[in-house]
Amino acid sequence: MRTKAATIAFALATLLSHGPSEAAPLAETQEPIKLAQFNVTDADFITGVFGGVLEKAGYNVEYVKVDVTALFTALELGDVPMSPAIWGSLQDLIDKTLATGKVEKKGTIGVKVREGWWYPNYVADVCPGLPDWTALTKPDCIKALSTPETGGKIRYIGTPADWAPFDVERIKSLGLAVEIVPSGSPAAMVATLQGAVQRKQPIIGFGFVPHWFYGAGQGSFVNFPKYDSGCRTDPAWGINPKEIGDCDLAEGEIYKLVNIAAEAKTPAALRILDAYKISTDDVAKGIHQVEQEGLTVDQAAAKWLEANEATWSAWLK
Amino acid sequence: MGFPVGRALGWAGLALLLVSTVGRSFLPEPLYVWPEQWRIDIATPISAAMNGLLKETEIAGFLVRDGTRSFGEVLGVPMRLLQSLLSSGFLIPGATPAETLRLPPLSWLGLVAAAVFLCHRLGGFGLALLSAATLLYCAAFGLWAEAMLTLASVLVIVAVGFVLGLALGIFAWRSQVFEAVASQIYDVMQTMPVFSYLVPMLLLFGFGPVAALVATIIFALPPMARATTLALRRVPSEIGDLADMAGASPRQKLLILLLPSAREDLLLGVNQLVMLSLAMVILASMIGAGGLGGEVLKALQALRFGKGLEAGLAISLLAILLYRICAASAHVRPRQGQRLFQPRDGATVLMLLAVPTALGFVLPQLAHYPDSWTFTTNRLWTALMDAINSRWGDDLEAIRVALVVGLLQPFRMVLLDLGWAGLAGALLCFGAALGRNWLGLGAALSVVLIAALGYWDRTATTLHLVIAGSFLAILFGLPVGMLSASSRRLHHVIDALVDTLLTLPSFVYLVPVVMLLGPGSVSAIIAIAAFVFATVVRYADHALRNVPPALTDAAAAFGATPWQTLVKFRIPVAFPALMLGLSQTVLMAFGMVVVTALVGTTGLEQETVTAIARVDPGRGLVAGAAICALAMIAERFLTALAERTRCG
Repeated sequence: MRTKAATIAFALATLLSHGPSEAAPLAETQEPIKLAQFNVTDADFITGVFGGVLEKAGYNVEYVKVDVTALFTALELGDVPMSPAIWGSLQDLIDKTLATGKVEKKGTIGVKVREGWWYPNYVADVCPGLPDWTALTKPDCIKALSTPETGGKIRYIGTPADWAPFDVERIKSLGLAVEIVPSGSPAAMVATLQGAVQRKQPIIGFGFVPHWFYGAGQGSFVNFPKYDSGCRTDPAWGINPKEIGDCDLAEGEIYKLVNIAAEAKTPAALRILDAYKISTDDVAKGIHQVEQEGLTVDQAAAKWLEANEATWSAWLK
Repeated sequence: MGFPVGRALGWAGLALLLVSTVGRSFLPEPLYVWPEQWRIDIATPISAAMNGLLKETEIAGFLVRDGTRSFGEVLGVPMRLLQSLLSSGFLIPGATPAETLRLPPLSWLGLVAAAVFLCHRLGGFGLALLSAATLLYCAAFGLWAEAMLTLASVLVIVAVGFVLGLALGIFAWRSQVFEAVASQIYDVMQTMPVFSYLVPMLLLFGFGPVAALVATIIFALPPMARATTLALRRVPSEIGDLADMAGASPRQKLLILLLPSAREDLLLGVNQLVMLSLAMVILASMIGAGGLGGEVLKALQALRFGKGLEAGLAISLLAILLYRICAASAHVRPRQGQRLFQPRDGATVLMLLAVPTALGFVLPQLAHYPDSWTFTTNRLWTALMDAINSRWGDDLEAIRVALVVGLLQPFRMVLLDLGWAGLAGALLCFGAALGRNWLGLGAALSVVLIAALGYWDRTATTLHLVIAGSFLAILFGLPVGMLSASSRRLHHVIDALVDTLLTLPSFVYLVPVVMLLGPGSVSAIIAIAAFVFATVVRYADHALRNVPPALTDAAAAFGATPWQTLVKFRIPVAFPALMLGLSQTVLMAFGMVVVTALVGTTGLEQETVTAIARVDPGRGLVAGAAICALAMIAERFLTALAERTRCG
């Protein structure tokens, strides 16, 4: 009795790891394709929509919950074959992964990402001249945005240590009186700003859209000199002739990355990935549905698929 | 070492610290800041070596990585089976979508019924009620699938950890040499920040539950192994003699007599195993384990405090339930001639599981707990947090700034001014004063090495967080511990609170604190204090309870008031145990300081977190080893001091 049960269990278990793969309508295999979701609404929504289209094409999709940085390792090793939601701000990690030769970049999905110094709208009252960056050099503004612990400098809520906002270079080259307070993690960063906004306390910190908090219409971005590739390499470029980095962050993109070895296994999925495009507005709407209206990511993705049938059916051809 | 000489050396050490701090302005600067040109860098070669080992090294034509991955696959089979059975159902891919088989998991109703039945047989009505409450809580708050996923992982981890820990503990009991070596390794396993080895685990074992399994085992195994060795040692020798007299073979002696006799102490190890596994749940979810940890993270990213708290409490409840089940199994007294579980019990369980699952094909509410039957308190908590923030937010911010500028920053400056040379010298003196010359030498060398790596600045930051956090915890924890030791009823209540605090993921209360107080040292210290508080209460309670009642009776007979009894009798007698508690407290504080990196601290712990993000294993390991070394130095010194007060 016991051995029989064990045998059945073992057989089931083995079946789970091997499946026959013959030609099928569009999907070559019923083995689930693993897509990564990292508990960040915008990326998860983008991935959710992509997964939804794959399912319409006949694939099985399995969502794996991971941390963003672990995802790069997973892409390199092929554990996760593709991802349509890689933020361009992770340039270092992207370059490192592409350098291994195992991962390929397949272009952008069409969503424009804006990152930079974010301030709630009421701060413009104490710092007239915002969103222009020169407003941050006026003594009254500096005083309003500082606290005793920053010793007369503006208190700026910085990013987690591994992001690359080039704040140090910007502060130095533009001669700003700013003290960066590290936030440790994205949750802490947003929590700090949310807390201050609720108290109507003047504050400034790093922000990015599309995002449920920064994109909710209660704040704006500071306009530094517009980015150009010369800014990061040539000191002569820009306002300060002796230093680099005297500019804003580049307007970012969201990239699609795919593991080269995995490409061969599911060419149809790859064609769909190539064709995949979604607009910034759609993503913002999806985020709003999840965060403000309480839908799950799956439900919001399903709504998008319903509303955009013409678009995604073209990708399946 | 004679006592007067020891004392003199102790004072000499303190004097050295004082001179070093005060004399910064006229003593050579390199004694305080290791000169940059002489700094050594071992992080880069380690990273290169690790990346090479993990990604490219071949042994006999096979990549090391492929070997460990295959091993991981084998380990993963029972885990995935259990997960599919309990939580996600089975997906058996066929050739076409039509042929693909999807089987639902076991019905939630069936699992609750089976669990209640088993717990009733094992531990009576109380345990059955607890299991029903825990499982229905998970279902009602929409956390069923995730809870089952976490449960499946924890069951496998505890099973593997139990067997492995038992085996290692038995070896250590048999061989002194093995024990001495193993003890050092256990210390490293327990204090090395998990963040440091998270990424190598990923590289070695791939994605999903197995990497998390191995990482958790590394963290949770040492207490089990240590408890086994201790348990076997404490078995009265008469039992061993009895076995010899009866002619038992060594194996029979161990399995039939010694281990069962040592049940109580083994239970302590199992308790730690369960608690630590659940403590790792959040970190494990960062490398793909999913489950309740993932739910907590997801909720807190979106600042949904209520949902985060609900998921966190689910983790705590599961921990308490599992521990109580283990305790009940250990305390079971089977009736004469009857086994605890009859074959008909097995049949009942199978039926309880099978019937609702089968019905689930017809009634979908039985297969998957319906969303419409769930509710959440999220709105309540968000409203509460908003109210607190609006009403007291400004005042709290003012208090925070005052604390930072007036207390914490100066304290950190003092630590910085201690200088690595002063600290190393003082540690040498203290080691000699306690009669542990090797400890003093090792500690001094570690400090010198840390300074040579250029980490002295960060060390001062980490130390000021740990010391301030421990101090705060002791300030509040000691009175509560004393309270708990004085009354049985209070003890039960406080015990439950301590259990919850130890298993509730600290991120759950950290993020609301950050919303009110911003990132940085104050939030970090509150986090450390909250976690360590539970340890202090537990140890203080245990120490004071173990004062022989005869002593307190004698004190009462002499007409001492309760206060006098406490201060002049109980505390002095409990002092060695309290000192031991202090050393464990400090160890816990060091463990917690790594999590504070997630709220913007800038010490050694920040390096470990940055290293994960940059996938730079060398940096993480070196910073982690530094924290590890500091923790072990603190713990060993305090333990040595505790032993001194016991004898002297």
